This record gives sequence, structure tokens and C-alpha cells, in this order.
Amino acid sequence: MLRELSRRSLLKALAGSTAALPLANLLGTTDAYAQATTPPLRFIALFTSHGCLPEYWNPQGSESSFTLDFENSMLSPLQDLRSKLLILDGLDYQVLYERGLTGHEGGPVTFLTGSKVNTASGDDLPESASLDQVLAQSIGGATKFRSLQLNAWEQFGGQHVYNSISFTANGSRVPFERDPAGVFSRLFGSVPTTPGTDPGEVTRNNSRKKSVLDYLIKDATRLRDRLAGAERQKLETHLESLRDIERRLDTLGLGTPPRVAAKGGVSGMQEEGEAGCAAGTPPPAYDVGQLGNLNNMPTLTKLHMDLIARAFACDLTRVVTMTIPGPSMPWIGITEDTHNDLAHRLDVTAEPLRTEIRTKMVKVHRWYAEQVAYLMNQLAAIPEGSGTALDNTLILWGNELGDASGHMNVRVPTVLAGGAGGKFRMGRFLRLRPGTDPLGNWGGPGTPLPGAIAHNKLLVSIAQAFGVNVNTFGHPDFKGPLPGLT
Amino acid sequence: MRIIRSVIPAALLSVSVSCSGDLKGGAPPEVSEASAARVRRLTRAEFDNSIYVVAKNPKPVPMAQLLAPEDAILGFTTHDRLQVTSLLADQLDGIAERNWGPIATANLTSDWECAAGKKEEDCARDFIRGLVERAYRRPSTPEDEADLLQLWSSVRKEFDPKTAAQYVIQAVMTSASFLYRTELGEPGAKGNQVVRLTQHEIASVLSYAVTGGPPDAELLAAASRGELNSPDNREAHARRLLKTASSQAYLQRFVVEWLGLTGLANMNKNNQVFPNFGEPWKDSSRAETTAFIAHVINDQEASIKELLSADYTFADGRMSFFYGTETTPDGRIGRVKLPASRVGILTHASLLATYSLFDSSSPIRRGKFVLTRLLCREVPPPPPTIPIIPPAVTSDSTTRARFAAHTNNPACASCHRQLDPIGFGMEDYDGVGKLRETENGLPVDASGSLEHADGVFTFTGGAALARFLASSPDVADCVPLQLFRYVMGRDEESVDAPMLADMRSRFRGDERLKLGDALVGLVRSPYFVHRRIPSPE
Repeated sequence: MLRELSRRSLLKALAGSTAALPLANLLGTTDAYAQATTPPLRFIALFTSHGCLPEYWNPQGSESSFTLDFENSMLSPLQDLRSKLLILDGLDYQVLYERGLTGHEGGPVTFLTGSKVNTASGDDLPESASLDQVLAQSIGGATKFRSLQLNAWEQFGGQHVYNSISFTANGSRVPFERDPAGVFSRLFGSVPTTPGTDPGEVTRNNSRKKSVLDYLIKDATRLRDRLAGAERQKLETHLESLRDIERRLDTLGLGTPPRVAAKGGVSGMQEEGEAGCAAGTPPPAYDVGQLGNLNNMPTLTKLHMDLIARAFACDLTRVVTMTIPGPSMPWIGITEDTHNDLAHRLDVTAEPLRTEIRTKMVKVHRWYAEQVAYLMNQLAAIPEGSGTALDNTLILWGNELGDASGHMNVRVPTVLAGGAGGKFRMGRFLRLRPGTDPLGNWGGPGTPLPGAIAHNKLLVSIAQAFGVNVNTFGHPDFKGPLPGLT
Repeated sequence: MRIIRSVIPAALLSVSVSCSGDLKGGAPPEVSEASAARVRRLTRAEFDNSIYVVAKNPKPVPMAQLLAPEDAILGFTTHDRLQVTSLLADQLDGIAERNWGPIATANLTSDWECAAGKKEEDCARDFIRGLVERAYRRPSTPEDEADLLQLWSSVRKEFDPKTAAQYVIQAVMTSASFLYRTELGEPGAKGNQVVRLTQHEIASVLSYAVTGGPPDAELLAAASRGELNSPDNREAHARRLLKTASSQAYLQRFVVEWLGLTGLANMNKNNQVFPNFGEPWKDSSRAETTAFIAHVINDQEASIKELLSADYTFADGRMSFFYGTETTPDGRIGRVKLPASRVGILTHASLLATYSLFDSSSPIRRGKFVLTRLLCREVPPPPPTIPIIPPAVTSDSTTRARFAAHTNNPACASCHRQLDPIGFGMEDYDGVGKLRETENGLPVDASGSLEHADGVFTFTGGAALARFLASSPDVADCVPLQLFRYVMGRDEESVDAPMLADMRSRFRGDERLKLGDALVGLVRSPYFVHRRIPSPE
């Protein structure tokens, strides 16, 4: 079990072998080489904010026969993709109620970590790693990039909870990329773009870079060996990053299908030969001002999603997180502050204001749902095995709040999307605790939230689907997977 | 003060195998307790300030803004939890390969070129020694030299000396020894032992504390001569460095982060409610605050008294009109008198707008700002039972009346009894900091109160509060603590008490409350130059 293996012993095992044995093996996942014949399973976590109106968010109908096509349906853009959805109603951020802080700040912190919020640093941080980082450790070693963290538009500055959902084991934020051109050059930059590039030159260049890395690893190891505890951990993280670069230079990358693993080959999409794999056109270069211009958010969102699809097509990574904030959405006529003027005011009773506010909230969520649909369609356009990349992807789309007007972290709108490689039974609308309200019998902070469905269980289920053999995720209070998914 | 250390169980402390035995520098530690030994990753700003020195470039080139941003802890981005994550490692690699590597290779040509008749290995070794000393802020070790010479020769097998030089430069620029500043003392100390930092570590810790950049030649020379155990010598260097432009930039950043003004460029307001607000206003108000802070740091000896009590500001025509004061002859930004309703930075529109909501002022945010940033008091987060929803904006009442409701809720009252009266007293400024006497046609009640160490101060209006805070001993005690957090990159611990006392007494020794004096108090302290080696598990 992951929790029983110390991080350090994992790192040691990793460090001990130049071939960088996949952690997957230690953790009991499917053998990486077996994955070369079956398409790999990928994970995308999407985060949008502000909570929802449950009556408009949830589908109408039964578990296996539901519709998203009704008046004010927030998920209506996903109607045609229903067979690839598993919509969960009644998932709760139980840990926030029983172990501390609820509200906006808690949601994004616990979404992927299952941790309580630790405010000791003056900042809201979790106490353990997020799911994407755990998966990156476990399956990321098979690809050039263990994981990518993307942000469509940075709201309130880099460290704001709305932008970051990915955390390392010591509770630090994993920085994200918001510039699609930067993501592109990181993903595809090392690949020769001119067809005639001399492969010998590429090999020589790689061998020089290898010599540099040898030095960097020696130097960082020397410093690490003088340190203990948390200080040592900093250098362990650094060494991990260096080994990731080293692994990418190494043409014997573990995820590479055997037929292109030949020595001296350039690792890159030209040779990988997957049908959908192509770097495509580089995204336009935006300067800092343009990246900060809210009006560019729809374009930036699509550019990032295109890059996710290309990265998957070329199997450059299998784990991605992306946050899409939205302080307002002028491109669909929402000039108000989504948070203060819409989400906070959904309980206004005076008409016509009430209808006006709620209608706008529906528009906001439909826009988010359109983006999810766009991403799903991009992935569905990549043929893979007998299906598409979407069939082998699990998207977890989450939020920080449930019913926006109450600002509570229960009944958090949560959607699983994609084919999930057959790990979950998709095409369903699952009511996890129909007709119950855990808050009704709650005794206050630090006391149990009776009848709640802890989202930690969903994190356990997803981790298990990816072969990470755990029974708890995040806070140890909550045990076992979420029933009914498989 | 709450102090939480992430208690990660220490691995067995590996003791260096180099058996030099006794500690170089010889002198026994001056204190029996000290804060923990550590390494600190350069911030982006420190990276910019450090790398141009390695490259012998005439001046810094701000490039690190392209790197993954730091998060803030206790409001400061300079904290000691920074790491090199996968993304940052890639970005640093890219900067070294595409930008700084080629620049440095060109700049350093005379360092790596080998004159006819000299052995290439000797030339390479000299080049490496100089490079390492600038980058690692200490003399090179035999291991550094051997490893980098090995890199040099492995590249030289197929390429010219210039390429070898570039790869050595890139390696040094992306190495852990460059990216982390060490506070470890000489190798070989045992767990729990209190050690003195090495002379070169003292040079670094002092230089980064005063300038946010690496030690200059004078400081390195002093380290080589072993002069930095003397508090007087450390003070002399600190006073010398305080006059540099890099120190001024470093202290300006402190003020911006301390007062929470990093988000001025991203501010967004409802211009239906605030017709003044728009991009031009945002630019003008930001320019005002930036110019004023620069003036206080550069031309007023970083006097916090001046920062908080100035009866002038730097305004362009737009801000002059907004404040209802005189304007410069050409309407461009320049020094103008403030009206009596404003005093110092606490009444700047940019600051008041920062501590407001999208479409109204926020007594809570303003109260919390004063309590946490100016008085160093802790405000616990709301209990989980309470949904944190500001009351909706209405057109028939005042902000004060809307917000007063939760103060009456017993669950909220204990905290908000402290918070709200401060913010209520600043209600004479609206959500973009415009002076107002009425709101929605109703008279504004800007009476407020503040509990301080010696009692309760009652006042009416933000200017009265600002005047009080400018001469408050509580604020004068808080600023050195905030500066400590910024410089040391961590929360204070009990062992820091004497060091903080030194900072405070020096800071308060001059009624102008100069940041430089607090820094002198810091660098003179023996605790500044000692660390405790963590005990093995």
C-alpha cells in the first residue's frame, strides 16, 4: 500500500536503477510493457468554481436513462456525450466539516487531496499529495512528462486557491503553466521540426545534455547528503525533477512501444507512429498582458485543451490537471462578478432579479460544460486501438462548492467523463444518497457529518482504477472505494 | 503566534565523510541554541539578481518572471519552502540553454579561452574556479572542479572549447549549488549541535537579507579574510549595501508584499457601481502607489513613519482629480499635497480598493488587513459552521448596516467585535477608495474603534485611523516582525526572540522607523549567523 511505503524508500528504489524501474511495479500496477500493447489509461482533473444550482445541474431521469436536454439544464452541452458520462449527485467534502475549514478555500485544496485544510502557514494548504501527483508517481514514469498542470486564466494571482489543485506530498502547490506557447515548446520543443535534421546531431546533442545532467545529479546528491528531514526532501524533489529530464533524454523511455525503442532513435512523435500524433501548429505567443486579459480566456482554454489532446496522442503524458476560473464571462454577456453578483445571490427572492441571476448562472455553467464537451470531442477524434483516446481517458470534473447559494461543501457537482478504459460503468447518473441532507444532523465543526459520502472514496476508486493499491486517500478517516462505480 | 513546523521525521543525518575533524574557522559558537540549519531555493527575483553576476553581465535582465511563480506564505513569496519542481527544472534548463548560457559564454570569452602555450586543462580549471566562486558564492571545492572538468572534457571529445564552456556554464547555472543558498556551517557537525555558519555563508545570508542578491566582491573578500564573525563588520557591510539600488528594490518589494499590494494589476471592480474604475484608473492608482513607495525607500531612508504619515503623494491628473487635490502643471505623475482626508499609504486609493469587494467596500477585509498586516495579530478563520458570504449589495442601505448584521450573530461576534469596528471606521472611503459622505443617499457612519496594547482608540474616518497607526508602538513592533518573515522566509520561533528584540529596538531607536535599522539589528545578532543541526531520528 502506498501509505505504507515511505516516499523515501520509493525514491531510493528509483534512484538505484539507471533504467528507472517504474514505480508502478512497486505499487502493483499493470506492467508498463504490457501497456505498450493496450492503450494507456489517462487522467484529467478539471476544476471550475462557484458551485451550482443542483436542480439545474443534475440530469433528469433515471440512473441509466437520463437527459440533459431540459430548460435551464447546466450540462446541456454534454447531451450527446451522455454515454461517456458518470454524473455523481451527493458527493461531500466531508473532511472539511469534520476536520476544520469549509467554504471556498477548502474546496480546491481538498478536491484532489482528500486532505483537511492546514492554515498554519497563513495560507490554505493540504497535508498530503493530490491524486494527479500520486498517479504521476505511479504511471507517469512511462511518459516524458509525469504530469502537466495547466491554468486557463490566472485569477487573483498565482497562489489563489482557484488556480491550483495540484499539491506535492509536503503540501506545496505544484506550479502550473498558463501560457499555451510555453506548454507547446515544453512538450514538443526538443523534437526537430525540420524533416532533414541529422539524427547524428540530435544524438550528440543528447549526449552533451546527458553529461550536464550527470553533473547536476552529482551536485544535488552531494547537497542532499548533508541534509535531513524536510530540508533533505527539497533536494529529493529536485533530484526527481532532474531524473525526469534524464529519462526524457533517454531513448529507452519505458512507455515507448518496443518497435521504436531501438537505440539511438529520436524520441518524438514522428517515429512513434500513432495515428493521431502530431505536434501541429504552435499556439500564438501571448505576452503577460494578453495572458492576463480575461477576454482571451475562451481562446486560451481551447489552446490548452488542444495541447492535452496532442500530448495524449503522442503519449507524452498521461496525467493532466487544468483549472478554469471565471471571474466574469464578457464573451457570453456576463459582465458581473460571477462570484459576488451571481453565486452569492442565487437565493434572492425578488423577481425579476431572481430569474435574471439564476439564468446567468446557468449560462456560466453551460459555458464550462461546453469546454468539457470540447475536450471530450478532441480526444474522441484521436483513433486508438479499436476506439479513441477518449475511451482510455478518465476526466474528473469538480468544483469547490455544492449549492452555490448556501456556499456549502456538500453535494459537490462532480462528473466523471470519458471511457475510463472500462474501469467504470459510464453512461449513468448516480444518486449517492438520494433525499438526504447530512447538514441537517450535523453537530458543528469537528463532529461527524452523518450520512455524508466522503469524496475521499472517489479518490480511492480512481487511484485503484489506475492500479494504485490504496484503501484510503488523503485523510485516513475515510476508508474504501466509492461503491457503484464499477 | 502560532508556530507550526511541518514535522517530517528526520532521516538519519548523514555525516560527511570528509574527516577534516575540527571546524574550520575555529571559533566556538557564541550561542547555545539557534534556528534549524536549512537550504533556501532562490526566489525568481533572487535568481535574476544572482545569475547576471555569474554571467558577468553589466546588469540584471529580468527574465525570471517567466518562471513558475512562488506561492506566498504569511503573505511573502520569499519563504523557505520553495522547491525545484519538474516544471521549474524544465524552465531553468530552457533559460540556461537559450538565454543565459549563450550570453555568459560570450561575456566570459576571455575567461575560458586558452592562450597559446598554456595547457587546456589549466585554463579550464581557472575558468571553472572563477565561475563556481561567483555562482556558488564560495570558493570551489576539489569535487566541484573534478566534476566540472570531467564535463568539460566529455564535451571536448566532439566539440570546440566554446561549446564545452557553454555546457559547463549551463550546468553551473542550473545546479543545486547555485539554486540553493546553504545555511549549514562546515560539514561534519553532529545532530543537535549548534554551528556557526561558514564565512561565505554569512556573506550570502547577509547580502540576500539586505539586497536580495549575492555577495559582492567586498563582502566575498571579507569572508575570505574571516572578518564576518564581528557584528560591527556585518553592520558596516549592511549599511554600505543599504545604499545600493538592489537593496532599494528589495525593500520596495517588501513593502508591496507586506501591505498585500501584489495584485494591483489584476484588480477588477464593477464599474456600474464605481464609474471611476477602468484600466486608466487602475494604471494611475497603481503608478501612484509604486512611485510613492519608491520615493519612501529611495529618498526617505525607507522610513515607515514617512510611509504611513506623509501629507503628500505622487499623482497624475487623474488621481489628483480623484483625490480633489492640486495637480502637477502638466498633469503627469508628480508630487502633490494630499487633502486632510488622506494621510500616507493607508489612504491610497489602490490600497483601499484592494481591501474591498467587487462592488462595495469591505469593513471585514480592511479590519483584517489592519489587524494582521499592521498589528501582527492573528485572525482565526471563520468557524466551519459559518458560510462566508458577504451580505448582498442593496440599494436602500449602507455597507455598514449590511455588515453589522453578522456582528450581532453570537457565533461571529467574538472575532468580528475586533475586526469590524476598524473597518467601519474606514467607511468614509468606498470600494475604490473614493471619499464619501453618503451611500445610497444615506449618511455614512465612519465611527470606529481599535483595541491596542494600551487601550481602545476611538476615531472617525480612515485618515484619523491612519494618523493613529503611524505613531502606534504596536505598529512599530509589528513591522520588524513582518520584515523578519520576509527576510528569513519563515515564521518566528521562540529562539528568535532575542534577534527580534534587537530588530525592534534598533527600528524604534529612530522615530523615523527606518527599515535599514531593523536589518542592522538582524545581521548583528549572533543568532543570525548560527544554526542548529537537526537531530537524527
